[in-house]
Amino acid sequence: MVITDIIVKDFKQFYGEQKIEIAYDKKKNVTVIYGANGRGKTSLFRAIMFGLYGEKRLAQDPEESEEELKLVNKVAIEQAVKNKKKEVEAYVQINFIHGQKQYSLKRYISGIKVSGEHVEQFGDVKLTITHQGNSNTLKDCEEIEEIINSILDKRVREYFLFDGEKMERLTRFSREQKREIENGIKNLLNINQLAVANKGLSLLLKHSEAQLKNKSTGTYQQEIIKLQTKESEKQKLESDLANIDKELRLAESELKGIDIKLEQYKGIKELLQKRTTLNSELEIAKTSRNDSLIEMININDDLGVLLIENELREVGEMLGKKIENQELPSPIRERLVNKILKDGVCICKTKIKDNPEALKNILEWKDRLIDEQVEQNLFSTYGKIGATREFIKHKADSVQRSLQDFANKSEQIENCEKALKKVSEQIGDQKIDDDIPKLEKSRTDVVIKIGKLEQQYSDANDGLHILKEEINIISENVKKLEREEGVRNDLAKRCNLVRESRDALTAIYEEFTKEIKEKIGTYATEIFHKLIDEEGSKTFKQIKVSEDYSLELYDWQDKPFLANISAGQRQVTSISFIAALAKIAGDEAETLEIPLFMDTPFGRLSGEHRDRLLENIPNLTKQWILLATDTEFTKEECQMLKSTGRWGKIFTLEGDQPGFTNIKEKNVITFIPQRTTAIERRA
Amino acid sequence: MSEINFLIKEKLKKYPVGVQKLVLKAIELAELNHETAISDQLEGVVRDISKNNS
Repeated sequence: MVITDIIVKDFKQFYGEQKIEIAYDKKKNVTVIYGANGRGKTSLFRAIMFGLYGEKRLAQDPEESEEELKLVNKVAIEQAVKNKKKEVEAYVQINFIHGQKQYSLKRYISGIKVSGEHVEQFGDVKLTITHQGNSNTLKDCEEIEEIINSILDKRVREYFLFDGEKMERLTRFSREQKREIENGIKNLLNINQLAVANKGLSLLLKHSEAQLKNKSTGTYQQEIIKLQTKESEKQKLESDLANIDKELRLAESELKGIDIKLEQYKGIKELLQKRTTLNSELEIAKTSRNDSLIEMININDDLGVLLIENELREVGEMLGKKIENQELPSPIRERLVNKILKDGVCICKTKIKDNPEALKNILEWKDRLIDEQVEQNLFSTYGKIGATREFIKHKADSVQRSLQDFANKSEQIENCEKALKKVSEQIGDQKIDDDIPKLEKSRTDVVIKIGKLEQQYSDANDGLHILKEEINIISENVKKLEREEGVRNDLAKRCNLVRESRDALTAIYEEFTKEIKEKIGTYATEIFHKLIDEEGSKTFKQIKVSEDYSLELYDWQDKPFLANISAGQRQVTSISFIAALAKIAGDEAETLEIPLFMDTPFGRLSGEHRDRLLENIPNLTKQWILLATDTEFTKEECQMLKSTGRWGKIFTLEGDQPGFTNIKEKNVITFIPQRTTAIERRA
Repeated sequence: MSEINFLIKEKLKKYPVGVQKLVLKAIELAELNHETAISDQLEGVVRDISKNNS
């Protein structure tokens, strides 16, 4: 199958009729569809699914979105309402070549607005097949479906049209991963038919053994009953296993749902936690500021004393100076001056009565005399002034500290309030329908449930193995009895034939799936070593599909390594597995006969892995259609792809408003991605 | 995909002819039928094979 072009009209973001020609030249087989997120890359992917199979949903669509998923362009519908037209007829046309024939498949879907609601209805489908100049147009849905399925089976479409998410899923350690691998292998190789045939034979065996039991006697009958009982037990156990598996799927789906919600709330959760922390910080700061305030109020009682600090200082200094100058205490006592005046003789024997100069001096001395009591009071005051000033200094420091503390707390409160405002703005109107702790509790419960179910599954599986061994032993015994007792009637013979056939088919089925797994492992390893970087190649030896359908990567010591590999190495492993599946589906041809679509596959890949993919994938498939965003298809990838010489076409998805995307073809040689490389950005 | 039937036929060669016939018929019926219909339709096939082998 080689797709030549895809035409869309009023489909999703693509208003009016628009066309993409896919490169299908043997030498130039790569088409890049380049556009920002939301521009319609996945819509093109959806257009192919819808065109080929009439399906609205993609594997990655959330289950609940089916009702809301609309394919007809909304702008076209609005215009139809404005122009009083009844409905919009959208379509997808896929033109392709398969074998020697040309195919043109056109599928319609109409959209209409009824009472404000956008309603859609599937329309006709038309397939025109042209062979050697003769054309034949088919309109029968079932006939068309059969033809398309024979070219690219609907059940395996996901392995040719896949996205980064699918690649990530394939290498996760989960039952979901195992189921994906199992389904991929079984669907691709159509071996489910063998399983259905086996169930038919098992049912026939049950009926035959019931008939045989009714017509048998003695030990033989007892053995037949035993065999039947064990077969019934086995069937019951198989049914139990299927039920546990179903329950597990439900639980895993529930877990996935919770995880999606928790992931959505992750950002908000962090913001909410931040808000709670800020609120409590704010409370603490406010309480602390109040404490500072109370402390200041208490200080306030003694604050009056601060007002006389200057005066006290001056008086203190003055008294201090007097003491320093030895003016205090007075060097001459009052009693001595009075005695001199009374006696008229100084202590130096000078007669002051006859000496006016000496008298004047003594009188001056008298004027300068301070009362002894006053002098004592001055000393006491001087001491108290010192103590009071110390007290004032201490109070002033306390006030200073309290004021600083108050200012700090106020600043902290202001900062908290600013941060709170910012966080609240970030939280904005985002609605939180579920209580996060409740969701987390539900998650824990579901994880516990899954653990229990897995244990039950493992126990039931072990029981099934034991039963199978017991059935084998009883079967051998029945055969032995038949030989010994000559029980060789028609019924026994028929019963044996059915049992042998059922066992043969079971053995073939197991052998066949084992061989296929080995083959897929071999091819996947081969491709893996082409795609993985040098370091990976040195570390990893091979990919294996294990007995329980896990995808495993082994190192050179033959030890499983998948749990420790990087996201990029995971993607390379998945791509290798998918390419191996496709190779087997294409009868092991060197190149895939089916186009390989990859939607945003480079997200987790390193530069070297990207280069290797760009270099090698064009050789693995007839057509490679790469749907890429500007962040994953930068100048570096562009240059690398140009250097391979395999790049045939480039289309950009452009538009500046919702509902309008224009598909524009660009020149591969002159095309330069808008987004610069990381190095350029740094420069 | 086309080699699957061939591979199954190859693997069946080691089994008795009756078993080969019955298994291939079951696989053929499985393409369009579910297990009950397969079981019903195989009853006649089993009878024929047993009769021819006796």
